[in-house]
Amino acid sequence: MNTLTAILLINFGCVIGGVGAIFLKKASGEISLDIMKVIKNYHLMLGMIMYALASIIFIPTLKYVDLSIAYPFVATTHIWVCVFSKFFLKEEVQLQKWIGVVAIIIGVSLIGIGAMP
Amino acid sequence: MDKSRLAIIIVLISTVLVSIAQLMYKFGMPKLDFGLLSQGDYLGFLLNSIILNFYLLTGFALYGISVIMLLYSLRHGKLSTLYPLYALNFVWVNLLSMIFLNETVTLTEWAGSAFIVLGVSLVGSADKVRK
Repeated sequence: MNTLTAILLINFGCVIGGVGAIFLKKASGEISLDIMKVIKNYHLMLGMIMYALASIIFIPTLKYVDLSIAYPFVATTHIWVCVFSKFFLKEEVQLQKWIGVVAIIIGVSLIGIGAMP
Repeated sequence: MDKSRLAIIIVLISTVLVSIAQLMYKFGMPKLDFGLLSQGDYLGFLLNSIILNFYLLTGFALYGISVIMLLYSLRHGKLSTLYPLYALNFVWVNLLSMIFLNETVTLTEWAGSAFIVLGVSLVGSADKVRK
């Protein structure tokens, strides 16, 4: 696996992690102490599975890329959480967050440029 | 010590733990025996490579502890103070990679990390904490 493939995989994992966060947010409104209700809370289960999936995708890429290259891309999760919160949860996303999103995009781009041989 | 100062110390410790967790994942990766997977021995792969993999397990545990510490500190401090501190884990991971993995972090990559810390701080601290 080359660096580019690994980075694309990490980014893909972060999209899944972002979707997971949306499901967890939906699940948080339905939390109960009844264990059966927790198991049947499919938002919660889907959210946790997607979080786990994001890690399962991220960790193996470390075999092929430097940690100092791979890890910064985890920050792209924040981008997807902002985008999905706006579109799926109809949340108001403040200007400060969009400025943050732009900063993250500039940041990972610089890491990507730095990673190129 | 007042609660908000304690929250700052706890969040800083949690950033160090989550960074060490990444280092552990990196150390644990070469120990994965994909040969077992290709032989169709899924249980063996799960047991030998993941469950009995000291580094991965330590990484998962440190990650879990760091999340609990972050949640605890958020209860006692301001999000706008704590989240920028939490974003420092991107700096620690760079330093740990240089020290323990002999990776080179170029000036461009440091600049990238600085933008990421800024970005994550801005995204994470925008919401008002509910009282």
